[in-house]
Amino acid sequence: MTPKTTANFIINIRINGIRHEIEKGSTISQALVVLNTNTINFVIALNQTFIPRSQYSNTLLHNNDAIELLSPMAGG
Amino acid sequence: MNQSKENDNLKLYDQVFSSRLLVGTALYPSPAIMAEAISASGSEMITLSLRRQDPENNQGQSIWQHIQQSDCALLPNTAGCHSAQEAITLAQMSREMFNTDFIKLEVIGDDYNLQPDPFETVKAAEILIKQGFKVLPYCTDDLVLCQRLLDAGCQVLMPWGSPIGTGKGLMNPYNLQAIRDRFPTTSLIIDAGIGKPSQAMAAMEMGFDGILLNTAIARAHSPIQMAQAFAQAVNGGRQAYLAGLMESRQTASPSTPILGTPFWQQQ
Repeated sequence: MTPKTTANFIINIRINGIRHEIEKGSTISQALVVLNTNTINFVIALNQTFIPRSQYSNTLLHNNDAIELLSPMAGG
Repeated sequence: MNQSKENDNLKLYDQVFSSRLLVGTALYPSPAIMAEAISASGSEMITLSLRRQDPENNQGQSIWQHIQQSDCALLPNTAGCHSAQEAITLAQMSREMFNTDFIKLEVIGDDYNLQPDPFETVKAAEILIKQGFKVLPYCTDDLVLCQRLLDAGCQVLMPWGSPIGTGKGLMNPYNLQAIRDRFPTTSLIIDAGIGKPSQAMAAMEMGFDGILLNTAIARAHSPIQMAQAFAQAVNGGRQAYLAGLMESRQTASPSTPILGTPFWQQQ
């Protein structure tokens, strides 16, 4: 993905509360690659809505979207 | 109370388990001790969660690896959720991650004592049941709330003994007994607040179908030994319930025959 210098080509998203800049028009799949997400086992909610893995490649991200990227953890 | 010991299984929706003890996977000194304690408990269903991964701490991955190596069924929870919508989203994420329809529904209404929100819990249960989930709701010992959850389609209820992590045992035996008596065919699991094996045994003697706990085992000096103690207590309480407890009475009654009492002199 070629870096863009024009602000109009960049959107801000949050993953687990941390702000990231990605190219406008990116899908969830593309964002995960660009951001080099280092998590193996995970599931995603976008703006508090569950997104099945099968839809990562066709779900477009928009400015100010919030992704929750969750992994297995101990629990009671 | 009509089951023979051989056929005495815990039924949770369409699945049966020979162990009536469900244990959590949190708070152990290490993932390896967690795995040993689970094995020692004999539990066949364990709880776990989904959380944001901490890049600085990879313990979640290690715990997950140990859990995957166990033969236990998974019961993901919705711990930390404060609304029906949050719990529903987390349940959907858990179903994909853990490949199970089982969900321990937990919607907190008060952060001080972690008391479940009855209204949001019922709302979430209604929707999740329609979406095909097998909902095990963590709830208070309120009889009417339990009825509403059954009306929503829940086949298992998990009333608290006392607030999570307190170890105070069965705070309100009257309410719990009322729930047991009013819903004799529903699988009822005491979830939360159990601190001692004797408390678990008391619940099982009352006729509850199972016990779900975490902290009392994980925080023991020897979690493995405590897991064994709880397994024995749960089994002992169940056997006592099936055997039929004697009625308590107000006055003493000698167990040794009076006839032939030595040193007795007729005046």
